[in-house]
Parts: sequence; structure tokens; C-alpha cells
Amino acid sequence: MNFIQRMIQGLRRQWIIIDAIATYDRDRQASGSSLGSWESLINPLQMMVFFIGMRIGFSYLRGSSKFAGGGTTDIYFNVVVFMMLGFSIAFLFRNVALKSLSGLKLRAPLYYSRIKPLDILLALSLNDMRALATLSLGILGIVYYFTWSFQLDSPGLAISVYLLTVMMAVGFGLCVVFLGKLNKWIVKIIRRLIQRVIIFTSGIFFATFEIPPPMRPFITWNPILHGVELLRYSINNEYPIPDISLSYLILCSILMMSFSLILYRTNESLLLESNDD
Amino acid sequence: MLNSSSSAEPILAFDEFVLRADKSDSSVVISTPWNWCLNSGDRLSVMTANSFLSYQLMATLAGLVNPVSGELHPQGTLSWPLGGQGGLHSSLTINNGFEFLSSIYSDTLERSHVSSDDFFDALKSQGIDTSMPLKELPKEKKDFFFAALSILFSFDVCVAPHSKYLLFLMSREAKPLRNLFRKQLDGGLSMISNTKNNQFKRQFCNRGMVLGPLGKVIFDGDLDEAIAFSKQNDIVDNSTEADDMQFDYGENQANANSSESEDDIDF
Repeated sequence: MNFIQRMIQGLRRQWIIIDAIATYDRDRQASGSSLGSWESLINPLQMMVFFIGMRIGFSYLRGSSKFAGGGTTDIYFNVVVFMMLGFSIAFLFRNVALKSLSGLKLRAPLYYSRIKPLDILLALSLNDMRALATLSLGILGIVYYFTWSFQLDSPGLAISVYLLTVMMAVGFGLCVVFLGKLNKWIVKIIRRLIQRVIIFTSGIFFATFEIPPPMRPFITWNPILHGVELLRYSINNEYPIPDISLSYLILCSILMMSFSLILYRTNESLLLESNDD
Repeated sequence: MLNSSSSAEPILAFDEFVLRADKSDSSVVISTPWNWCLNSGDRLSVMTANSFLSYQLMATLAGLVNPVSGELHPQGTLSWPLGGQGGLHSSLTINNGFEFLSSIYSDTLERSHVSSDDFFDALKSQGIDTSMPLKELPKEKKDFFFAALSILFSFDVCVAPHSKYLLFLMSREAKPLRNLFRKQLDGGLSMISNTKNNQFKRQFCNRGMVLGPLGKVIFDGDLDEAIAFSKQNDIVDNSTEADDMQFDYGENQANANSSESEDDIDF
């Protein structure tokens, strides 16, 4: 009983620290921007609008007049909802990974001995998660309001997939934060590689069923694609998800998180600047 | 084997503790590993002619430097350097900074002998507007705010390195803060300091320790006797003020700026 109490107390204290750093970072960003606290929502919104525009533009260029701007996926989703679902998962992963790859930019709070590098990474991820989740729910609400067709077939699956992606993103972020210590050119190359892989293979623009079956193995290795497609499926259970598996996503998330925590535990000191000289 | 100057409960113990003793040569370490401790209520002033060793000790306590070997066993929370100005980003307001730290160190604030009202009253007495970003505060007001902030929280051990911030605490403008600090110390706060300022030592310390050039403990006891002993044996730190100020206690740990933003989409 004592152990459980201590554990709950410890987790509570940890949560307070992470939440305080998340607020610290939001305040810091808000003070440096003309948009204030809205900055964290406006930036991803801009990108989402740009991506939706691209998807609609490509569909019209392709000349698929049979369907609206969303192409074949319009049978199952409004194009805005389709893109938003892909964006909210893939960009959550991308943001966490890229921030971690740049190393610990937010270093100042490490001055206080209670704050560890992991707390900072988790706090930054929390801010990204909050911003993208708020944006997604807002867009979903607006689209449902205008189309008057509320649909959320498997809310439990939606929440699970979202949390699994967060877990995988944090795990991946923790792994790549150590790469940030390497030569800056290697970091730049990895950074560009990650950007391209995430944007082009995570299913933001397309659905897996739109890809010809022989081509699918080239993208289904990417667990983010599984997260994106499962999230879409959780909204509409009629949405086809060939070669997509929840167990693959769970496996990747758990493996990534476990490996990263071991890596962090053994190399934490690398993330703290040495001042002994 | 841990030795102590009194029978009280140790709050900080050095166990076979070894630190570097020469800035230019990392192979030079203290001659005898430390096995001493700080007891609850002890306010120790460490005196040595070796300013680098003195810095190493305080930086280790602040969590900035790892010892060469040995372990430090704190039985409570150690403060950040007294009056130190790291940690808070310059674009944050005083209110932001206060809220941040009061969340992180809520337990030490709850048991503090200085209330939040005392803290805000002290800031008000200096005409400090708490909604103002830190970067817009004039230097002396900034010094005052950071000194007040580090006094507000009641840690088990206060780490007070010799720095310009600690010297500010002994200035005329900081008199109200010295009263608050006294209040905090009277509540049972322990302290470890390497200050060279005798006024600070006499006002706030009650135990003195004199270390040889290679870290050997050559005197440990009453503060006045320790000061007299160090004078008698000519154990005076001859480093200049400028030499001392080059030591960084984490204040320079800033948020990095990158030319590449994470929000840039790079196809």
C-alpha cells in the first residue's frame, strides 16, 4: 500500500513538473509572438490548410470528376476531416521528432535540479499534443456543424490510437534527442530524411486502399501510417484499411518507448551540459 | 565512515567524495577523499585558498558538475544557487516565473517561513511591477527579484556560492531581503557557502571549515575560530573578483536559438 501511495505521489509530482514546464514554454512563445497564445494553434492550422489545398488541387489535376475534391476517399470522409485526421497524427509525430532532433533547445529550466531533460521533452510533446488535439476537435466540430452528420464509430479506438501515437512519438523523440549531439550536418540530413518520410509515407494525402496492393509494402512498414489509418477507421468503420494492423502499432509503440527509456536512463548525463571547465 | 562535528542528524553527507582541484590539470584531485557532513541547522562557511576547488564544491551541490568519485547523500532538497539568475527565460514576466517555481517547488513554499505576501511586499517596496517581462527590468531590480525568489522557498540546504548575486544580498538595497533570509534561516534552514564576504559569514553562518590547497580539511568548528585560523595560517583566497566571476553556476544555460524552425515544411 505504501508503495502504491508513493508511486501515485511521485507520478503526481512528475505531472505537476511537466505541466509547469509546458506552461513555461507556452508563456515564453506567447511573449515573443504578435499572435500571443494563439501562435501554437495558428501555425499548425496554416500548415493544415496548405495540405488540404494541395490534396484538393491534386485531385482536380488528376481529373477524377467522379468524386469531389477529396478523390475516392470522399465516399467515406469529407476531405477536410480526412486530411485533418492524417495531419493530427503524422504532424504530432513529426513535431516531437524534429524538436527532439534539434537537441534540448529549452535548456534554461534545467537550472533547477528538480527538472530533468525528460521532463522538458515530455512538456514540449504535451504542448504539441494539446495544440493538435484542440485543432482537430475544433475542425471536427465545425465540419459536423456545417454538414450536420456526426460520426464517431469507435471512440475507444480513436483515443487508444492517439495515445499510442503519442507514446511512439515520445519514444522516437527520446531516441533522436541523442542524435542531436552529433555533427550538425548529420543532424541536418536526418532531419530532412525524417520530414520527407513522414510527409510522403504516413498517409496524410492518401488512403492505403488507394495504393495498388503490390506497392503497399513500401509504405506499410511505417507505423505512423497505421496510426493515421486506424484513426480514420475509428471515425468511420466502413473505411477500408487493408494491411493495416492495430497490433503492429501497439508493438512499435511499446518497443520504441521501452528502448528509448533504457537509452535515456543510461545516457541522461549526455543531455546535461558540463560546466566543469 | 562519515565524520560530523556534532551529534545532530546529518542533512548532507559526503562519502569518499573526490573533486578536481586544479583548473588546468584534470588529473589533480583533492588529496584526501571527503567524509564529512552537514547537520540540520548547520550554516557552514567553507574557506580555502583554492578558488577552483571552492567552485567545484558549489557547482557539484548545484548539480552542474559531477564529482570525480564518491557520493553525495542529501537528506532533503538542495536549493539552486542563492540569488542566482538562471532558469527563467528573459521574456517571461515575474508572475510567470513565480507561478512556474511555485508549482515545481510547491512543497518548499508550503513550509517556508517567508510568505508569498512577504515576497510580493518586498518587490512592491522596490517599485517592481510583477507583470513586467524580466528583460525589461533594470539590473538592480532584476538582482532584487532573483534574490527575493531564492529566499522565498525553504529548502533543506541552501547553496550559497560566492557570486555577484550573493554580494548584492549584502548591499544596502537588499536590506529587506536580508531580514527575510534571517527569518528563513531561523526556521532551521541549513546552508553551505564558499563566500569570501566576511560580513555574510558573520551574519548568516555558524560553522567554519578551512581546507588546504588540495582540499584537506584542516579545521572544522566554530565560525570565528575558523576565520581566525585561516587568517593565522594565511589561508586567504588571493584570486581577484574578476577571476571568481568567470565561474558559471548555470546562469549561462540559455535557450538555444536555431535558424531552422520546426514549423518549416521542407519537401
